[in-house]
Amino acid sequence: MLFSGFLAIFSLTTLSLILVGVILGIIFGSIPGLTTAMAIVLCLPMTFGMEPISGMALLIGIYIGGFSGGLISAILLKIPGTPASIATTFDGHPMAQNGKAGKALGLGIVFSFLGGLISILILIFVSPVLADFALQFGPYEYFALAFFALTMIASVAGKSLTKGLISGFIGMLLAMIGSAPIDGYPRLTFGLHYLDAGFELVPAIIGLFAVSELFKIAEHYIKPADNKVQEYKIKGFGFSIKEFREQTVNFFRSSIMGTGIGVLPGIGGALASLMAYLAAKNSSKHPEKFGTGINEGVVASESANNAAIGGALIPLLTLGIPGDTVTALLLGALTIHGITPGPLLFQTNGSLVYAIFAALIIANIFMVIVEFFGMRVFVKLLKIPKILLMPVIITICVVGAYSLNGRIFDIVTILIFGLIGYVMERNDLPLSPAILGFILGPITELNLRRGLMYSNGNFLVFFTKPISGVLLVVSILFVFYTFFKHIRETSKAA
Amino acid sequence: MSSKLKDVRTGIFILILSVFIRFISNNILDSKVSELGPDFMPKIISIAMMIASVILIANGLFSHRKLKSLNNTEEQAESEEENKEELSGVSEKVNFKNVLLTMGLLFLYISLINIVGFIIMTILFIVLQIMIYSEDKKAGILRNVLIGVIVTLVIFIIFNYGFKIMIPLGIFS
Repeated sequence: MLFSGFLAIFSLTTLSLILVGVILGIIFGSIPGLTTAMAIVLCLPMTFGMEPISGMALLIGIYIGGFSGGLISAILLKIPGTPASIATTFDGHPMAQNGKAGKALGLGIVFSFLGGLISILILIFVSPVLADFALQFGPYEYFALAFFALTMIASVAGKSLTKGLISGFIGMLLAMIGSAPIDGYPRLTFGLHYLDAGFELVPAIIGLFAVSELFKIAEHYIKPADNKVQEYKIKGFGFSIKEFREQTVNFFRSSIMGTGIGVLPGIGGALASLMAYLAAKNSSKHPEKFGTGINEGVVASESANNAAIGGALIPLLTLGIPGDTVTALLLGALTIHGITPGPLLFQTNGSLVYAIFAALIIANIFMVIVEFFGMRVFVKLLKIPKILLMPVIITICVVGAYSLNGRIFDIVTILIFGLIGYVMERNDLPLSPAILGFILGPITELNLRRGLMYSNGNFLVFFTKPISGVLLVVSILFVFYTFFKHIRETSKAA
Repeated sequence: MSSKLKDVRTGIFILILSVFIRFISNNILDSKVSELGPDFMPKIISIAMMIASVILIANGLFSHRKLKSLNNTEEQAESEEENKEELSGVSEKVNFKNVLLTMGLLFLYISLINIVGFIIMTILFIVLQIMIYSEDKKAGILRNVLIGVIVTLVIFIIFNYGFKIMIPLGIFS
């Protein structure tokens, strides 16, 4: 079946459409503010006149390229191109600063490819089972999962647990500004109607990571002596076979986590890469080295976020449930061509499904090729002095933020979050817990309240449901473990 | 200021912030849709943040005093801090004037982009921001203007014609 799928897309037109899609996706993915969803919206009208297979080939190219493009700006500029590459900045950027930009990019690209590939294989062979698993997720399970992820804030807290928690709370509070979930009551808006809709994630990330950096550079004049070009060498993909082998366990764990989290509608790639990063850190023999620029960090984040692609397509194709904006657009594209995703899709349009699978694999291969050659061009960014580069990046961010919804408020958001990020960094409050809180806070609250509505206010149900019960117990144990470990360490230090 | 005293300052600021948020959370209308209203999470989080900030303040004061009594004086702590700063390569004083100028410029850029338009404001922003960053304000002005104009036009052409993304044109619309 898969073979016939490959035959179906093996025409010059279809292959070049995939290639164009991948390139466009990488561009949109690497520029902060420009999203994969935007690139798809841009190309959607073009696909109307095409054969379904050609149209889907183009869109799938964008999807794959967009997910992986985010790593470029995350590593080279410490600005995640997409929310899914936030965790890539943690170790990818320090690696670039240590002169290992080529290695960081190489690892990111290769493991994006492998992570994507593994999740596509899972999609092809076990999607019905996983779709059933996703169907079991109701508000209780979502709440438990989000709560579990929130307890992980302790692991990204950095040196001080207290400060990490404060950052996390700040992120959660920022996400609460606007309309409350379920009833839509405005809160913490100070009566300002601009704030009613709340802050969006993408401008918030641009503000915290890019704009705060703009302010930070202004703190000191960069002397010509400090302005030395970061050295880098690129040979092949920049890493050895031995380094590659060392990542095997990490890679499989991250890819499977990525696919699993990707399957859950509405959770997405950002959480997949963060969780995989934290899992890699917590199971590492040297967790203290995370954040200083080590291979494991980049590999975990990049395998997981690309693995989320195959995961997200599972509920889309088998149940017709889109997990995020991008998959919703893909669903739209399928319906426009008269194809209804769902349990019957494999029987009614089997040949198209296998053509989509084949297109995913081809797009993934094109992604590696394009980025392998592109890598040598991307690293040239590092040669440009920061005082010239940063203002230019900010203008691109401004356009990107504006184009999200065509409103000035999203640009104002990047300024507000830039100020918040700068003040936080000056007070040694780490930024990553804040972003984690910003993403997870709303998911936690929505599902907590929804769950309590289902259960008529009985909180015990959260513990008696098997999946959510296990997750909640593990989270509570994890909180105690972190707490006691922290106390032991501080008393040892004293 | 030693890093511990800085923690105390941060803690006090966060404490005030969380008390404020806890206070204004009382004004959130309570809905009858579910058991927990829209005010539940802001209240819980602000209280948690209060507790965390108190711990931060207490920790900061405690270790500051211990440092003082243990070694010696404030000076030692201070010089330690300076050593650390030197190691990280940031020994000079923070130029807050430039930070404020940068913030002001970005604010102007954002508030005028819709009125004056993207092209003029972006050229101005790039040129002025590079100037703020440069120690010698007059050096390379021609280069900076050239960068500003070229970058702005390239962004404009790619976004407006290539990606068909609406860009505020201001007085050119």
